[in-house]
Order: sequence, then C-alpha cells, then structure tokens
Amino acid sequence: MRSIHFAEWILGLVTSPDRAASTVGDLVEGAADRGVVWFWTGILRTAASLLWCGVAGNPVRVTGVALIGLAVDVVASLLLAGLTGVVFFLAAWYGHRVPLNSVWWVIALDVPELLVSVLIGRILARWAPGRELSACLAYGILGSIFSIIMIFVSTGGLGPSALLWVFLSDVTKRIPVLAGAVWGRHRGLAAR
Amino acid sequence: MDARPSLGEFEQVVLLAILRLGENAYGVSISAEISACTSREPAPGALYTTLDRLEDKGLVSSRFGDPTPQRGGRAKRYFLLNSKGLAAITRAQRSYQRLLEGCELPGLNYA
Repeated sequence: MRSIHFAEWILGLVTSPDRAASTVGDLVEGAADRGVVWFWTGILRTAASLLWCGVAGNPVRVTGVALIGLAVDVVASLLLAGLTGVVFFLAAWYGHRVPLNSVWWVIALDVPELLVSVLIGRILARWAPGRELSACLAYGILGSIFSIIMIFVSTGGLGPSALLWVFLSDVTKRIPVLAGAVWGRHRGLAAR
Repeated sequence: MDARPSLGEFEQVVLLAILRLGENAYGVSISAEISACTSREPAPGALYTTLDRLEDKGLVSSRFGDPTPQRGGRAKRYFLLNSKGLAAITRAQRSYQRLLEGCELPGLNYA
C-alpha cells in the first residue's frame, strides 16, 4: 500500500492530484493480471510521457522560463565567483592562508551554490505553474548544452569521456533545482 | 485556415474506443477495447497523455467515479465524447472514407 502512495506521489509531480490518483487506480487494476513490474513500468512511462508533454505542449513558454532560470544561474554564479574572489583577496591581503581543504570552506563555497539552485527551482515553479518539472527538464537540457558550448569555447574541445563527465556532473547539479521545483509545486498546489 | 481541431491516428483510435464504450469509458476499459479491436496494446503513457490532450482540446469531458477497494481506493476517471468530439471524429473518418473510395484493398470493398 505504501508503494501505491509513492507511485501516486511520482505521478502527482507531473499531473493534478486527482488525475494521478485515478491513473494509479487504473494501473493497480491492470497490475492484478500483469504483475508489479508492469505496474512500475507503467508508472514510470506515464510520468515520462506527461513530463515530456509539458514541454512539447507549450515549448515557447517552457523554453522561455528555462532561459530565465539559466540567466539567474549565470548571474548568481558570477556574483558568487566575484564574492569568493574578494574573500580570497582580503584573506591574502591580511596575510591569512585560506585552508581550501577545510570542511568549513567547502561548506562556505557550496552552500550558496546549493541555495541558488533551490531558488532557481522555485523560480521555474513560479513561472510555469502546472508544468514545474517540465520547465526543470527544459532548464536541464539547455543548461547542459550551455555548459558544453562554454567548455568548447574556453578549452577548444574535449574528448567523449570528458563530455560524459561534464554531462553527469551537470545532472548532479540539477538535483537541488529539481528539489526547489518540487517544493514550489507543492506550495502552489496547497495555495490553489 | 481551418480552426477545427485536427486529429492524429491514435487520437482517433481513442475517440472511437470511448464512443464504443459509452458510459463505461475509463483508462482500463479504453485500453482493453483498443487491444481487442486493433490487437495492439496501447502504452499507458501514450493513452493518458492522449486522453489529457483530447480533454484540453475540448473533444471529451471527464468525471470522477467513486473510489473502489480493487483499485487501491482510487476513483475511476470516466470519459465521455461530447458534440465537438463527435463532429471531429466524424469529419476525420469521412476524410478516410473519401481516400479509400475507389481503392482496392484485399478483403475490403469501398465502391
């Protein structure tokens, strides 16, 4: 029974709660003959189809929202890089050695980046109500294309394994954005 | 420019299945009807996105039934073809018929 709630939660990320519940009900009914694997395959395929439909149904708006998220990402990254540079400069000016391998420095450098990613997720959810995760998907695709272009421009190209690494690290960086979008979706649904 | 909604092949299949099922058209029965008539089981993802799209186009309406224990306490979502949907499927099938007129297909006769 708990797994049905989880299935409903997954579908509830890409469609309205009542539609998610009835779709899960249909798949539960079908799974009585076909088994658990069919049920979960059905849930994942339906979620993927609904997610992609959110992009294909209104590509201009979703791409626009994704570009806003990307712009916020670029501006925030530049600000954070600038701020970090100032901190390092001041530390050097006063003769302090910055312990880059200390946990506190890692937290100090990573937490703002994490917060900005969650904020971008919230922005995507706010600008694409009902299509929050589709906007996230579009943002992820555009972000990966942007990263690869920037790497080609700055380094003159990379091998296939390095490109795969860039893509995978990009996907990992999108997790807080996804969390922010899910948070925004739940808040939006609660407010409606 | 024709402002009437155009229908894809699978949309027509789903609309015809809803029409055949009448009052009992919901996800499972629509899927079973399509399987029985076309020998092709539709993917759940394709079916539910098509149903949502047809409702967004205003060709079908949906209502929720009562929750049942066989479905983990979840309600059925029943679909009903409305007049706009009926007009759209009629128009699409007329077009097919016009294309078929004069064609010789094995086992089919369209004079």
